[in-house]
Amino acid sequence: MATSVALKTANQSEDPMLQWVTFRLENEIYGVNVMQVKEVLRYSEIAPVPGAPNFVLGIIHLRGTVVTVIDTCQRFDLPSGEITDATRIMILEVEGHVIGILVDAVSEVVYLRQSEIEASPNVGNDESSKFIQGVCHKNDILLILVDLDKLLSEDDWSEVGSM
Amino acid sequence: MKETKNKEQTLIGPQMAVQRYLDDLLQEATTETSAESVEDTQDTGLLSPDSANSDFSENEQSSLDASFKDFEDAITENTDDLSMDDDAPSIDQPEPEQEPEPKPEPEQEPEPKPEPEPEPEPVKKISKTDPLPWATGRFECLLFYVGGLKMAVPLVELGGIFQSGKEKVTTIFGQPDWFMGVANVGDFNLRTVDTALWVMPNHYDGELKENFKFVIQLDRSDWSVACERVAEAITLEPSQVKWRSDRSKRPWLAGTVIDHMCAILDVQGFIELLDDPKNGFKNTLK
Repeated sequence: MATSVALKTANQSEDPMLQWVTFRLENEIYGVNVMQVKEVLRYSEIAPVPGAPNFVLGIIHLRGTVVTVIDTCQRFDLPSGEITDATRIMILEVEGHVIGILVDAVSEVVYLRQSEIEASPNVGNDESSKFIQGVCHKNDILLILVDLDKLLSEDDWSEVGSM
Repeated sequence: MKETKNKEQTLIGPQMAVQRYLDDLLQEATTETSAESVEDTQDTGLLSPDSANSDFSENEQSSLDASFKDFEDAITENTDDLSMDDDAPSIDQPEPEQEPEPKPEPEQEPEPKPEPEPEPEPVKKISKTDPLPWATGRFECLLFYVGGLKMAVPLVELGGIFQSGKEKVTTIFGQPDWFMGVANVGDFNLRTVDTALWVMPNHYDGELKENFKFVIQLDRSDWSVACERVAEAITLEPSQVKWRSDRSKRPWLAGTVIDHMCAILDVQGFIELLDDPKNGFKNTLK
């Protein structure tokens, strides 16, 4: 009994269970680590900032704090989607910064074991391909897991900071 | 540049383009035959170049030649990359540029054993000039169609056929155009290639993507090629095929079958090409 419990604990530490918040963008489902998601907001007016980099949609006010909203489609090199009732702004904490990303819809939280995550089938040289951490097949859907830490480079962060 | 392409597209429909492409493949094979007839012992009777050319006007022929030159150039780049990885030296013409490379530094350590290379390469690499192992005797091929182009894959290297329309293929951003995405079939994910974009990049802009209904797994790899229709299996004698004596140029193409007007895939060559991370051909397609 004690052995099986110990074995179970060892397995869990070797193959941890991770939680991912999934969202939809251009008909595909993406996932981000739940630990980096602070909150999910309904779409609200995003104030454009003159001279901001092209990957920045603008800023929003969140309880007295200014949050920069990133144009996810632009970052992922996808065509821009329409704003609908399902559109959400996900507030994330990335590398110590708080940013927002605009997504078509937020779906659910899924539990994935580390071992279930496959390496990204990365065959391209495109800059944006580095944002993909891996893929995972869950409930008949292929989730594309995003590495938020790579979403913005050092230069991008300094550009955002100087806005 | 784009305008010219658009113009060409409106003039020549995809069906025509495919037909021309296939004709061109056959024509190329015929030209090779006449040039190498003395040394090439595998040749079979083929169409004469004149008869293959007769359907084209001079303008069409020259534009076709020009577009294939791009293709060939791209492939050549790729071949250079691949040949560097090859263990067995290919028997091509000796290139004077390769002189500085073969003699590295005297770092040749006395084999310190455990280099953490996980893959011991299960498939033995065949030189690009050697005959394909499955083609020494009678063999079977499955025919499939891509935009009207008939292609064949040897059954011994066919991993599986799966129904998977575009809606079942998950597209992944930041990838080259020829990479359609990941098709989830059964318990595994197959990286799916827009076959037409690989095979005839200069005659096609991706308009067939919507029509692909099946994916064909290449051997046991995680690569698959998309196609519109899967047809019957045929049995071929090696003599019925015009084999490519040197597959370093289009590694995915094993040969052509005049009787069936189709191109036979060299599956292992194709996988090798797709797996190569710094594939020149891929880069040019992007």
